Amino acid sequence: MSLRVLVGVKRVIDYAVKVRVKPDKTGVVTDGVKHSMNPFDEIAIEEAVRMKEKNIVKEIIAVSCGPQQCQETIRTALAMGADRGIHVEVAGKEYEAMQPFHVSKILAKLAQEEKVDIVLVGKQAIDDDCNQTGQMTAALLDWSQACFASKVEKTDGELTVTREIDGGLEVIKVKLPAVITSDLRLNEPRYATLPNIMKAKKKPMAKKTAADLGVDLTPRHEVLSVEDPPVREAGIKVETVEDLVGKLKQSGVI
Amino acid sequence: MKAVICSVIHKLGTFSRQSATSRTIFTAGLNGVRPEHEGYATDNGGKIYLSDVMQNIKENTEISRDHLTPEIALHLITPNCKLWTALDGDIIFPDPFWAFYWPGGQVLTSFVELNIRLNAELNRVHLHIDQRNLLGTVAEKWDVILLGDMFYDEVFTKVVADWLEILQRDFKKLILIGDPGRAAFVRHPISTKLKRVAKCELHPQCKMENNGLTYGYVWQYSS
Repeated sequence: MSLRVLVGVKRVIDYAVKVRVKPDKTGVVTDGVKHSMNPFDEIAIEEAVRMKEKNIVKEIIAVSCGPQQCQETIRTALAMGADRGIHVEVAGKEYEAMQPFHVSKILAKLAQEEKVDIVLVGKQAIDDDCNQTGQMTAALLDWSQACFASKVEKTDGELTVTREIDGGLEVIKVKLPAVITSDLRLNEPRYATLPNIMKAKKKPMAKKTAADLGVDLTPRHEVLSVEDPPVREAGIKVETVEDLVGKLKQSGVI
Repeated sequence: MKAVICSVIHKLGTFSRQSATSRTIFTAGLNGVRPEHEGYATDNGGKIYLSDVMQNIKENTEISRDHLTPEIALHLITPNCKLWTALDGDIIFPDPFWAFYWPGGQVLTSFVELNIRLNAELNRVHLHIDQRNLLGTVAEKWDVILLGDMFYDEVFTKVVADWLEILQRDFKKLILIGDPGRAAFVRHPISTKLKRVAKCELHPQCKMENNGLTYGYVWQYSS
């Protein structure tokens, strides 16, 4: 029971919300829209808590970068079983332009400051689908990485991680310290219940800025345009198999 | 031997009751005991009756012995109660900290029972409840100081730890602390001055109430 884990939790538009593109095509509408914790990050927190319950992990620190409301996301992580939180406040234009590169620099710096053994993040966020933060954090720290994990086991000073890859599973051993990114099948996260929600309010949450961590938030790439996917064209209904074959021939498919 | 048990008093706080036509907010600062029919004055000029409070507690809790001291039955919110899954806004008791048997308290009570046979000597134990804040006072009249779950918050941990340091250093009191290893406690320098005297696995129910915690510990403060 000795490991310390840093878990990244991102506040994203709730998975059940229908996302709308802003009229000026600079991004998506976020005002007045329900937000919640990125589902892959929920899986990451759950895994850390399970490791704590198996006495592999001693302390779990949940970190979120973004506006004030990120503190709600951190509170959810604390209710799920994280021990304390760090809110790295990034607001306004800086937040809109923040990219995985900046988040991974923040995570890498915090990992060193907090002397953690594992950085655990979701494999990607459901808003931008970048799938970059974990990998870049590992690169910046020069740590082992185990991405798309569907099983994590501790063996001596190493971790045995089962990874989801195209067409199957890959089992690898990584030395600690390491960065792990969680895939969908790693676990099923618990719901926060009343006693845990109440107790989470008493858990410590530190507030920092990117400047405190020496991280420059200048954007490294520019978003040119965000567009809605093309609207699907209406189909037609055919009455018989002959009609169907005729239509398919007509359109050159067969 | 005289012992003092320190714990946080969880007031019933603002008590709200939903009715079909109106939402009445009561404040129940239950200081002292009065006959049930007399009632307590509330902030908004109304009255709340102890019998109502007790009725609400009975309706929303379950009598449970599923903890480390099963000889004590307690009205608690358990997974069988609808409040277990309630969100903040839906509950008639805001933050009902009193409705859960905290892990540090469980293991400390169990330890004390085992070690000084509190049950056997129950008839000779004189229990006095003092609702004043005793933190920072000179605890001359007690030989033993017991604390359960007092280190759940960073600021409060510092206040309690400073007090304990004086009690130990200047008065050589026996100090026993029950805590499940919360961050505020393990991160405070006080933890370097403690000797673990008991370790107990928490019941599954208690683990569910305290995600991530699995054991309760009793620590003895030693210089």
